[in-house]
This record gives sequence, structure tokens and C-alpha cells, in this order.
Amino acid sequence: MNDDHEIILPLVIGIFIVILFCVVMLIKGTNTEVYKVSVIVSNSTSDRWVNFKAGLEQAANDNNIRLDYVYTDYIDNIYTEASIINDEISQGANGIIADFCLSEGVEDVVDSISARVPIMLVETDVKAGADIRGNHATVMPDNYAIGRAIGNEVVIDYGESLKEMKVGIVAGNQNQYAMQERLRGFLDATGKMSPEVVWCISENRYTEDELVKTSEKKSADIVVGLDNNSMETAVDYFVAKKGGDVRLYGSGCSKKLIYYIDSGEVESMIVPDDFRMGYQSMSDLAIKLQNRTSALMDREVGYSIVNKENLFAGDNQQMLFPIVQ
Amino acid sequence: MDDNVSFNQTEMNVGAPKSEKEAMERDKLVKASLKKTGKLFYKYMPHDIQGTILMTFTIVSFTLLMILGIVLYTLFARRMNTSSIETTEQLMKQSVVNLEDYLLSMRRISDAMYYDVIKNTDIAEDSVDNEMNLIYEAHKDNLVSFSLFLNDGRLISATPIATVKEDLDVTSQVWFTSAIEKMENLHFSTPHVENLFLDPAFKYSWVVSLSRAVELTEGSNPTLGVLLVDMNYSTIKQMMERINNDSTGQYVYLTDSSGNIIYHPKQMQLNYEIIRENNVNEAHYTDGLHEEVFHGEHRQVIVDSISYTGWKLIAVLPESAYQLDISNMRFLVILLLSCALLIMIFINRIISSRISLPLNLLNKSIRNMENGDMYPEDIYVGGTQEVEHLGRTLRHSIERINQLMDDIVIKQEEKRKSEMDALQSQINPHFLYNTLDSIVWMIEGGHNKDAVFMVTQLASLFRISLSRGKNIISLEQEIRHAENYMNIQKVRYKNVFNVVFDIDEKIKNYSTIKLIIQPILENAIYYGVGDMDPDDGGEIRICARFVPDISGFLTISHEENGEKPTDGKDTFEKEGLSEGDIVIDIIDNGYGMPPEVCENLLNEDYEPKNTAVKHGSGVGLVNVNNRIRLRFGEQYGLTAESEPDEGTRITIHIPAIPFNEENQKILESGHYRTLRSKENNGDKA
Repeated sequence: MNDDHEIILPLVIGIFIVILFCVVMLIKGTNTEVYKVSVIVSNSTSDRWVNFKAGLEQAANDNNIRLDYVYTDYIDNIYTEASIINDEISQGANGIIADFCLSEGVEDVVDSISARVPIMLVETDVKAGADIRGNHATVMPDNYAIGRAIGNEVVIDYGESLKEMKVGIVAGNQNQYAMQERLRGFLDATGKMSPEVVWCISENRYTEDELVKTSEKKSADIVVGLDNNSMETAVDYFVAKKGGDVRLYGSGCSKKLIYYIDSGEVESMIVPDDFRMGYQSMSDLAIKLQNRTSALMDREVGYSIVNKENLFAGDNQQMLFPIVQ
Repeated sequence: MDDNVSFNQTEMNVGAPKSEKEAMERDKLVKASLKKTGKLFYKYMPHDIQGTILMTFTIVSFTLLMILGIVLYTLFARRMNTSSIETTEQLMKQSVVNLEDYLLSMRRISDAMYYDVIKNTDIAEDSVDNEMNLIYEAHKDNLVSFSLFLNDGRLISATPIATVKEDLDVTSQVWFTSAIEKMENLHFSTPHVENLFLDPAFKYSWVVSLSRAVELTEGSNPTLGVLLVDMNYSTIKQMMERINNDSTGQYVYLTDSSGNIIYHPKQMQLNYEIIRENNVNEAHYTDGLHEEVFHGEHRQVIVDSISYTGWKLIAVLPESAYQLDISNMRFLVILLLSCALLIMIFINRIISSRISLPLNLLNKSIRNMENGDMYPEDIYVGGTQEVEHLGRTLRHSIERINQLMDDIVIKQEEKRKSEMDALQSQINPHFLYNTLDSIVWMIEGGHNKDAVFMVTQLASLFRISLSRGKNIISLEQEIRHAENYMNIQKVRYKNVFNVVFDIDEKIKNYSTIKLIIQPILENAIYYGVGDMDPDDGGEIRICARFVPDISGFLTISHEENGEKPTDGKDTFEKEGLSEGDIVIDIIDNGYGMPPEVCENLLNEDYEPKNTAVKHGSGVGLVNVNNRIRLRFGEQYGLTAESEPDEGTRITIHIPAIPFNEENQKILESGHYRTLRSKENNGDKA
């Protein structure tokens, strides 16, 4: 090799590398990878998910994620839910956000999903195996605190007289840790006053019928719905009944429930920050997808106590009526 | 005090040399690194003309391309920025017009309701529901509700829902207080969720309230009221969304005069404090382009005011908005420059090659010259005028040198020929003397017949000796010459010895220098068998053998003669002779000689001490040897072997060169060795 080649050859190779790099960067720059995230929640068209969905959409937009909000009916079977998730993965979902209908005995399902794609659980946590890769985590409110807040609202309204009150509880899906925690929180908060819990119904497909039967057997002075569905079921039943003096408390976020607060049918309501839950879960998942070495982490979102007086106050207004873009 | 001073001085004295030493070491290190860099630089610098031209052109091209690239990039970036600002300004202007139209239409609705309906109605007697409903229906796409309140908050009329919520105190709501506080104005609120009616469809709408104080006639008493037009916020939102579909990161938002956000594409993120906006400050900017740094990000802000409302339409162009485009453009520029540089390198290479190739070829010719190839036709003549001139001059020089060298060779050849002729002339008188001596002896002895025979033989001998002045004759003639000579000698010596000719017939057509066998035979007689008794069976044997040459020149000559050379390779290899040679052995079984004499037999300077009688001139063998070697080269000539009382063997070694006119001419001219070496070179090539 002569001098000429000694100098020119490395230079030419260097230029070729630069050209290749520029071409790759130009192609990559115009075709940035868009990840697809599928969201599977029970009864996806329910009004209770509006805020959550708004959060998802905003975060997906901010992070260049393609959101696939899967249409679902009422899900009370983990295998059905797992099947939907598997279908989504097989259709190219890079990440999953899901609200599991069951918290116990789902280790295999979670492990199986998280081995393939990262999964972000919302609303409730589940019992899952060790997650070394940080491929699954939960974004949810402090459910025990929500339960306590509902209890405190009741205690504040009734004071000592609560001891003589009969309480009926529509306790949400008690297969979920979240609802178990809320119930525990509520009972702990009202424990000092020792109200008589005349019935406690776990939510399922037939909650409405069960509520009718149970409430007819044993009437309650106070009915508490621990989640949006429970609350709506209770409101539907007791507002339609129009006879008794049942006062309603609980947790939820749908427009229907807000309407009933506005109309005075519901005394107060704990509104979990579902927008934040949606935004946070999607943002964290986006970061995980864009940087595989990062780990998903459990997050907690806040909640607000809403009643007729503060329904249209600045902060509550933003949270209860999100401006959907 | 003194102690302190001395202490400080000591400190300084110790410190000074130390720092000097450090400075020297630093200097050394710097020099060493500079030297190293210089060596490296020198190592990687091209040392040939093409490399130097190529490197220079490439550096110049690269520098020019870099400057061009930077200028282009800067111009493009500026142009892109300007273009983006211009586009945004256009968009802003259009949006302001659209928003103003929309807000004007809302004000007209309010005006229509107030001036056309309310002013002409006594609310104590008439209702404005129908008119209100008609106006609402006509504009319901842009309206959420239309309502009229008394200044105490009581509802006079509303559409589409006719009743407000129970226990609702509208007088505390912002739109109401604003209208009452500044009655002469129309007031646009910031977006809020309408809190007036209970919609059984669970509908809660975001609205922008347009409120104004109105004068009502209730009976005969004028009274104050508030007319509220709740504009559908989604209309404004849709208008704003249409101008916020840019994916680069630039966005437009809307605030009121205080900076309260009316629309922002990331309203929820702002509410949740996920992102921040400089809305309060930006709302106070004057209309036009501003530059600011917000949260460490440099950005440009274009502000435009919406007439009457005092709202501000603000476009934000963050630096990052250009980044993707600028980054792409940067890569594009680098890509183009790299391609251009690559092309430049190849062009430079071609140019440098065109410039340097003739010089390199000339240089190669000179290198070949250094290696000994002095052929003028191999000198490169071409390229540019200057190089061509150099080549031509060099070629002429080589031609001149070659001519001079040829002259020297010719002179040397001539010198050698003259030496050969001198040697030749040395032998002729010597031989003639010996022969005439024999004839005289015969005539004196009365052997006339023998004398006649002798004279005949002598005549033949001389005819061959003369050979029309040629020194190169065929072996046939040479052998005949030897036979003539031996016939003369046999007569003279009364047949005291036998002569045997063992000649390979094939060699007779090959060339030889004349008179090379006869002097050896003469010596064989004088020193060998001449003085022996007839009974002792003295014998002289002349054997001539041939080994064919397989190489070019000679082989062609063989074939030209129609002869097929015999394979005597083994014999010749044993005797250390090369192929294509002829050997002629002259063997006698005479007295022989001691080894020291035999060894020095061919030595020109050797003087034998104990030689009693010296027959003949004694220079025959040396002459023959010199002649052969001069003519054919050092590898040819004579070799002698002898054993006392056993005999002597003299071997003549000459190349096998077919006897023809051409070869005779070459050999006669004394250029045999030159031609042979040329022939060998030709074979190798």
C-alpha cells in the first residue's frame, strides 16, 4: 500500500460511514417508531372511564404512542380478560394497560404477559411474582385512604348518631384488593361509631337484583358504594325508589354521579384522580417502551372529596369535567 | 521579626529551584510531545507527488465544502425560521379574524336579544321566551344556553332548559358580578362548566359566558337585569384545534387579558401542572414577535390581540420545534457534503493521477536504469510538455550513453581481436619452423616420396591455415588440418607412434577457431610419444564428442542444419561441462608429467625448472587456451591431466556452434559473448 492509499482509504471509509450514518438518521428521523399500547378495562364505554381515557389520550399524544382503547363488555372473568390481552399482544400491542377483575391467583397471567410486553395495572394491584425486569407495576389511588375518606364523610355528617344507623354497603368487586382495601378503610373509619352494617354486597353481574333483595330484607339508613359501579347501582335503585330516607355516600367519577351530587341525591363522593391515573400509566409505559432497561414503578394517584358545595370549585371543576381534546 | 524574615527567605529559596525544575520538566514534556506530534505528522504526510497533490486538493476541497456547508446550513436555518414565523403570523392573523367574527356574532346575538326583544318587552306582562328560543335555535350550534336574570338573581327566561337549579345563587357567579360591575360593557368569561341548569341527560358543558347588564322594564319601573349568553366552548376549542395540528411542537393558545387560559392544547397537563406555561407574562406582551427563555428553553412568541375582548392569541415556537427539521437538514447537509467530498476525492485522485502518472512512469524508467536496463525505448516519453521534454532528453542521454558504451565495447573487442591476431601470428612461424625442419630432415635423408607427401600435406595444411584469412573454420577442416599435420609428423618420426582419430561425424559441421588441435598434437609428440621406441606402442588418440544444446540460439541453428543433437547430457554433467559444448580430447600414452608441471601447464607465467630439452616454442598450449578463452569466454579453453609414465590428456572445450556464414561472421567479429548474453536474456524474457 502506498502513501496515497494509506491516507485516502481511511478517509473514504470514514466518509462512507458518515454517509451511512446520515442516511440512517434521516430515515429514522422521518419514521420514528410508534409503539402501540392497548388498554383493557371492564365495560370500556362506561362513563366512569371518561377521565381515565382523557388522561390516556393526552399521555399517548405527548409520548407519540398509538392508543388502542379496546372495546369491552363487563369483565368478571380473568381468563376472558387474559384472552383479550393475549389477542392484543398477538395483534402487535407493545404494552398493556389493564384493570384486572381479580387480584388473587393471577401470578401466572401477569408473569406470562409481562414476559412478553410491559403491563401497567390500574385501579387495583394484584398478587404477582417477583419482577426483576420491572415489566409490570400498578397505578392506583390509596384505596384504603379512599375507604377511610368515605367513612369520615359519614362520620362527619352523622357524628354520634351514626351508632344508631344501619349501613348498607355495595362493596365493589371484592375480588380486587382495591375494593377490599376500601372496605377495610371504611370499616376502620366508622369503627369507633360502630354503625350496624346491615348488608354488604360484592359487585357482580347481578348486583342490582341482589341489592333489591337485600335492601328489601333489611333496610339501611346509609348506603355506601365503594366504587363507581356500586355507587351507580345504589343511586339507580334508591333514587328510583324515592320513598326512603337513605343517604348515599361513596366513590365514583361518572357524570351521572356528579349529577346526583349536584341534585343533592348523593351527599358526598370521593373522586379518584382518574385522569392522573390514565396519564401516569401511559407515560410510564411509554418511557418503558422507549427505554427497555428502565423499570416500571408502582405509583399512587390522589383523590378529591366532592359534595354539592364544592362541585364547581376551580380544582374540582378541572378534575371532574376534563376538557377532552 | 528577623526570624520571620529569614524563614520566609528560606521558603522562597527552597521553592524557587523547585518551580524552575518543574518548569524545565514541563518544557521538556511539551517539546517531547511536539516532537512526537511532528514525527506523527511527518509519518502520515504523503511523500509522493500524487499523494501530496491529492492531499492538498482534498484539504482545499474539504475546507471549501465545509465553508459552503456552514453557509448553506445557516442560510437554510434562518430561512426556515423566518418562513416558520411568517407562516405562523399568517395563521395567527387568520385565526384572529375567525375568532373576532365568532365573538362578534355572539355579541350580535346578545345585541339582538337586548335591543330587539328585551328593550321592547315589559317583563311584567310579556315573556321573552319565544324570541329567546328562536334566537337560540338559530344559533344553537354555538350556544349552550341563553338566559335572562334580574339583578337579584331571579331567572326571567332561559332556554333550552327553562328552570335553574334549586338554591342556586347566580349573583355570586363571576359572569353576573362582572356584568353588574361594568354595566356598559359586554363581558366574556374564561371557560367554565355551566352551573345553572340540571340537565337530566347528565350533561355538563364547558362554556364561555357572554354577559351584559340590561335595562328591563317591569311594569312601569325600569330595573336592571343580566343577559347571559353561554357560548359553547367546544366551538372555540375546535377553531383553536384546527390551528394546532402542527406536529413539530409549535402551538397556539388563547388567554384573556390577564393571562387566564381560555384555550391551550395541553390544558389538562397545565391544570395538573404536568407542564407549565408562561401565560401570565406572555399575555402582557405587546402584539408582535418576542423572544424569551422559559424554563431554560429558548423560544419565540408571537402575540396578537383579539379586538374588544382583550384576549390574546399567543403562538409559541419553541427552539425544539425546529430541531427535528433542523436536525434533518443538518444530516442532509452533512450527507450532501460527504457525497460531494467523496466525489471530490475521486476527481482529485484522477487529476493527481493524471499529473503524477507521467512523472511516476518517468521515475520508473529511471529506476529501471538504475537496475541496469539501459534501453532508450523503455524510457517513458509522454504526459505534459515538461515531462515529455524530460523523458525525451533522458532518452537521448541514454542513447548517447549506450552509443558511448558500444564504442567502448567495440574498441575493447577490437583490442581483443588484435591480441588474438598477435597470438595467431605467434603460432604461424612456430609451426612453419617445425614443419620445414621435418621436410629438410626428409630431403636430407633422401626420402623424396615422403618429402613430396610431406609437402602435399603441408600445402593442404597451409590452405586450411590460411582459410582466406578467416580465424573461424569448421571442425571438419580443423580435424583435416590435424590429420595433415600428423601425417607429416608420422613420416618425420618414422611411425614410432600410432595416431587414432575418433571423431563424431556430427561435430564436423560445428565451428571452431582454427589451429587449436595441431599445437597440442605437436606437444604430444615432442613431450609424449616422440622419443619412445617403436616397440613401446606410443599412441596419440584424438577424440571429438558433442553434446547438443537445448537453448534458443544454438537449437535453432541445429534445426536449421537439419540435425538432431544427441543426448550427451550425463557425460557432460559428470565432467562439469555445460550442455551444447564440444570437447576434443588429445590423449597420448607418453611419458606424462608430474602433477606440479601438469597443473602449471596452461599458466602463461610458469617457467619449468628441470626441463632438460625444450622442443618447439613451448607456448602452443597457452596460446590455444588464450585464444579459446578470448573468443568464447572464460568457461572454455583447455584442461590438462597427466600421470608420469602413463600419459597426458589435453581436453579442448569449445561451445557447439553450428558452422554457417552467419555464425562465422559473428564469431569472426569477436561479438560471440555479447550475442550469447543477449540470446540468453531473450530466452529468460
